[in-house]
Order: sequence, then structure tokens, then C-alpha cells
Amino acid sequence: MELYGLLLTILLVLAFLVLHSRRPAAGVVLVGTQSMALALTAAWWGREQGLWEMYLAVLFIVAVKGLAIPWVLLRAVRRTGSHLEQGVWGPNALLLVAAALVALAFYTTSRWTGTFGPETGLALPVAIGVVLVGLVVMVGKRLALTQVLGLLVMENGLFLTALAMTGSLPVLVEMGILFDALVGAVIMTMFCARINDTFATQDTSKLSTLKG
Amino acid sequence: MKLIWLLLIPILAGAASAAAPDRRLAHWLSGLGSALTFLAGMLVALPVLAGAGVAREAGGLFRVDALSALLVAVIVIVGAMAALYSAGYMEKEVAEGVFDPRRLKWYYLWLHVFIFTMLLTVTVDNLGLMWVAIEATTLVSALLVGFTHQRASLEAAWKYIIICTVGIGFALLGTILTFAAAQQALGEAGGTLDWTALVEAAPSLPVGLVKLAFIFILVGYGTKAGLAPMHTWLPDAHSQAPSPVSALLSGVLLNCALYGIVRFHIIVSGSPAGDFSANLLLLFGLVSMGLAVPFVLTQQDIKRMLAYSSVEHMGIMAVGFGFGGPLAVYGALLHLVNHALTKAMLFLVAGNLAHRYHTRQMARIKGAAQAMPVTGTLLLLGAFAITGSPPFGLFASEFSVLTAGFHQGRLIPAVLFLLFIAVIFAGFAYYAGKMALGGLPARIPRGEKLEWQAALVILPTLVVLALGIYMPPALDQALEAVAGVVRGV
Repeated sequence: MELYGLLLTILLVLAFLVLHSRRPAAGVVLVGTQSMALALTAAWWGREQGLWEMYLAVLFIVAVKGLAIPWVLLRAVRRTGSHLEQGVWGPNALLLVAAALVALAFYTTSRWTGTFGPETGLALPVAIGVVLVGLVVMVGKRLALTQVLGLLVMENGLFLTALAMTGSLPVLVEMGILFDALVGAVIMTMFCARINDTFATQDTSKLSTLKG
Repeated sequence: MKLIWLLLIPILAGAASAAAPDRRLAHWLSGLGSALTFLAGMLVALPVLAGAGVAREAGGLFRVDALSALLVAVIVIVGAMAALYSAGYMEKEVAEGVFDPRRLKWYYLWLHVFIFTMLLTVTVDNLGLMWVAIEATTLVSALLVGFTHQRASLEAAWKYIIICTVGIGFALLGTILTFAAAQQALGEAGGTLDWTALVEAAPSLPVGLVKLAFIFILVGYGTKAGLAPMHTWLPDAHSQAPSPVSALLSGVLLNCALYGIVRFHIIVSGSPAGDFSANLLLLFGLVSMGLAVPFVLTQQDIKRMLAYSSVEHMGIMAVGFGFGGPLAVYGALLHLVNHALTKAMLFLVAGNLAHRYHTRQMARIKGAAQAMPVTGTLLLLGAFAITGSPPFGLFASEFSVLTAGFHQGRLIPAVLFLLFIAVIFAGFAYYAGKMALGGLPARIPRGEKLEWQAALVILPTLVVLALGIYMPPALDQALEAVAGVVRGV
């Protein structure tokens, strides 16, 4: 249980670090690390509950979210060159917003975690918190690639939610979700590169011709 | 086996047209593929719609009831329209140097895979796999939206993929919550995402969790279905995509997302949460209709106007499902068919106009009826059809929904509904009249060769016209059967 709590803390802290990082390459590494922490959490859960299918899920999470997706993203970073993220607001303001949202997530989920076991009660607020921090990354950052990172953080939060609330989703569904995540990452990085070439910037706030 | 073929053919069609050594052959293979998809779709859908009962395959992994069958039919019809029309449309785009002709193979590959993902969405029984399929529709269609690599289309594709992927993340949360609700009702080992099992278990599902799940589902899939206020990606994507793709997005993709919502709506309606989902659908439907009004009235770009009109029509369907009851649900389903045909046809007409006038700005498209007699006439007919004027089919479906609303004594929603469609009618008629009948600028060449592709636009128009005058008993019974599935009877 202590290890479990530690893993959950790491997941949440990594989400904040992604929000704080200004270099896309560093962000990619942080997201990859977060995915590995997610896989460890799933492994802990599988051992605790004696669910052998969980190890299959762990394997897929490591392969897809921990290795393949970061590799795809790092290649994109290398191709488009290093850009420095200038958030919509300053980094401290974004951290404050994220912290407030996480506090809100802890407060609201605490009201009905009583109906679940202690494992769920501990993980659910963290999971919703990670989803919300991911959302702040998406909305508060400007570079196309950082927005993809926000999306990946959100996805990790959703995986944790599924783990916390249901133990495990049907294996076929989990594989489908991971497949979509991988294809999505490939397609989005393709668009990042294309935007970079066409607009000579990765700043998505420059994408503003379509209105009304 | 029929169902497996239906899912395999589009993939094979896409691969074959992508592998074709020259453009001519690619057009042919894609056209042939879409015709085969059409045939396979009808072979799957028609028996079910005629009352042959639910079709299952691969151990219940795939399941086609009347609701799925209706969607399959609409997807393969509009899919064939879009694929066949693409041949002429893409050749004109190549001639104008809009994109590198060597990339045409990618267009066809993605187009057919896009059709595959939509067919998968409406034929899998498992709601988790349905989520996977709907997310896949976003990923593939984003490639099609950004296909020309022009600045505006890249911008539209980026906004589309980001907004819809985030939106659909919420739908995944809703799906997870539904699974948790099933576990609470059926025990830890009884957790399921199979729709059939969930409908059976619905009466014992916990109210709080079901309500929370539906909110996330509605926000998530509602983003994809273009329900306001989550519709912001829609006008950009619909206006920047190649016209055949716009036809698919508006005619069937939005319906696939709405289908996802309806599947959950059926579960919630059978659960102790009761009317919760119906009331939310009614609310979001009315908001979508109301929000579309000012945007339709002030648009300058013809495809953007059609896109906002889609927001309105998805609203109309949501209101129909929200009212509930036999008449309103029947009306909503009939509207789904009518809207799919009419809006797809209008996007193809808009594509014709844009090629002739070299603009999508409505102020610069004048005298279309003189310049292009067939397209101009169809523009006028389509505009009257889409605004629900008699004798077109959309009048019948909108009237059914409206009558049901009044019968149920829901005066305020019904009056708002009437008001919104009346104002949009005025706006549409004004713009379409000016485009079709205004004075033709001298720079625009006159005359239009009647090519076979014109049939792709004329046929659906005739069908929508016919549906307003005469309802074939077979279709009537089929829609009754689908309404039965939606109402859980």
C-alpha cells in the first residue's frame, strides 16, 4: 500500500512537471516516465488482486505508451528543431490553476470514494487530478507538440481512472485504446511537422484565420 | 460472414485504389470498391430492417439490430456518393494544382478506411470498442480534412483532431463509469461493456453513477456530433475538407457520434435514472438549434453555412430523441435519413459551385442557375429541402417532432423549435436565391455538360422529395422497428 501511494504521488508530480517544462524534448521524457509509472501502478494492482490479465496490460502500456510514443515524439522534436514553450500565461500562473483544479478534484471525489475500497479511494482523486492537469497543459500551452503532451497526460489519467474504478477493462478494449493512442500520436506528430513547415512556427496561436 | 465482408471490403477497396499505378485506375477501383461496399451494406441492413431479427457474428462481437442497420444503410449510401463523386472532383483539384497528384492514392486509402471505421462504430456491440472505433474515425478523417496541406486546411485539421480527441476523452471516462456501474450492479466479475448485457442490467444500475456517466458521454460524443456549445471544430473542418469528405462528415460522421449517444441514452432510459438523458438531449438539442441561427444568417462562406446548418439539424434530432415517444423518435430517425441525403448532396453542389466560381464566398457566387442549369436548380431545391419546406421529406420529419412536442404539452421547447427553423428558413432562402438567381458575372462561363456524376446529386434530391410525398410501407415499418429499439420496447 505504501508503494502504491508512492506511485500515485509520482504520477501526479510528473503531470505537474510536464506542465512546468518549457522544452518539448524534456516534456516527452517526462510523459514517457509517467507512462512507466502508470505501468508499475497497474502491475502493483495486478499482483494485489491476482489478476494475470493485468500483466498483459502492463506489457502493452510499457511498449506503446512508455517506449513507442515517446520515440515517435522525440523524432518529431529532432525534425522540427528545438522550440521554447511560451505558455498562454506565465508558468507560475498555470501551476496555480492546475493546483486549484487538483484540489477541486480531491474535494469532489472525496465525497463518494466512501463507496469504494481503499485502493480506489486513494487513486481516484489522483486520476481525475492528472486528467485535469493534462487539460491545463493542452489549453495553456502554445506549441503544437506540447498540446500533444497534454493529451498524453490526460490519457494516462484516464487509464488510471479505469484502473481505480474498475480494476481492469476488457483486454480487447484496452488494446484498442492503446492502438488509437499510438496511431493518434503518429498522426498528430505528422501534423506538427506539417504545421512547422507551412507556418514556419509551431505556435498554434498563429493558427487563427478560420473564424465565425 | 456478410458482416465480415462489409468491414473487409472498404479496407481492400482503399488498399487497391492506393496501389493503382495511375490515377484513372485508382478512380475506377475506388468507385468499384464503394459499389461493393454499398452492396454488402445493403445485404446486411435490409434483412434486419425488414424484420429478420438481430444479426450477430464473431461470437456476438458484432451485432446489427434495426438501429445499427439504419446507420449501415445511410453510411454505405452516402459513402458511395462521396467515393464516386471524388473521381471528378479530385481530377478538377489536380487540374487546378491544389495538391500533388501523386498523393491521390493516400486520399483514396484514407477515404475508404474512414468509411470502414464508421461501419465498425455502428456494428460492434461492445461500447468500449465503439469508443475505439469513434476515435479512429477522428484520426482518419483529420487526415482527409488536412489533405490539401493548405494553411487553412491544416489549421482546421489540427483544431479538429485536438478538440475531438479531448472531447472523446470525456466519452472514455463516461464509458469507464458505465463499466463501474455494471460492476456495482452485477458484482465485480460481472463488469461488462456489452450493450446487450447493459440494457438487460439497466434496471439495477446505480442512479448516481449512471447519471454521471451519461453527462460525460453527452459532452464527449456530443463534441463529435457537433452539438453546441462543443461544436467549434465543425465549421472549420467541414469548410476546409474536400467537398466529398465534407459530405461524409456532415451526412454520416455526425450521425455515428449521435448513434453513440443514443446507445447510452437507451441504457439510461431503462435505468432508475429514467428521463435524465432525454431531458439533457432536449436541452442540448435546443441550444444547438438556437446557436446555429445567428451563424447561418451571417455566414459568407457557403460550406460554413452548410456546416452550421448541420449543427442545427443535429439539434433537431437530439430534440426528437429528447421528446421521446413513438412519434418524436420516428421523426428524429426519419430526419437522420433525410438530413444525411440532403446535406451530402448540398456539399457536392457546393463543390461544383466552388470549382466554377473559384470561390466559396456566397457574395461572389451569382446566377448559378444560368451558369450551371443543373447545379443551380439543385442548389435551390436543396436549400428548400434542407430548411424543411413542403413537399420535401425534411418537412415531414420536422413536423413529426414538432407535433409530438405539442402533444406532450411541452410548449416552450416546441415554440422555440418552430421559431428557430422559421428564421433559418428565411436566411437560407435568401442566400440560395441570390446565389442561384442573381445576375451572372461576365467572367463566369455558361453551360454545364450533363455528366454521369450529376446523378449522384439528382438521385438523393428525388428521394428526399419522394419521401415527403409518399412514405413506402417498407421504410415506414423499418423506421418503426428502429424506433422500437431506441424506445426500448
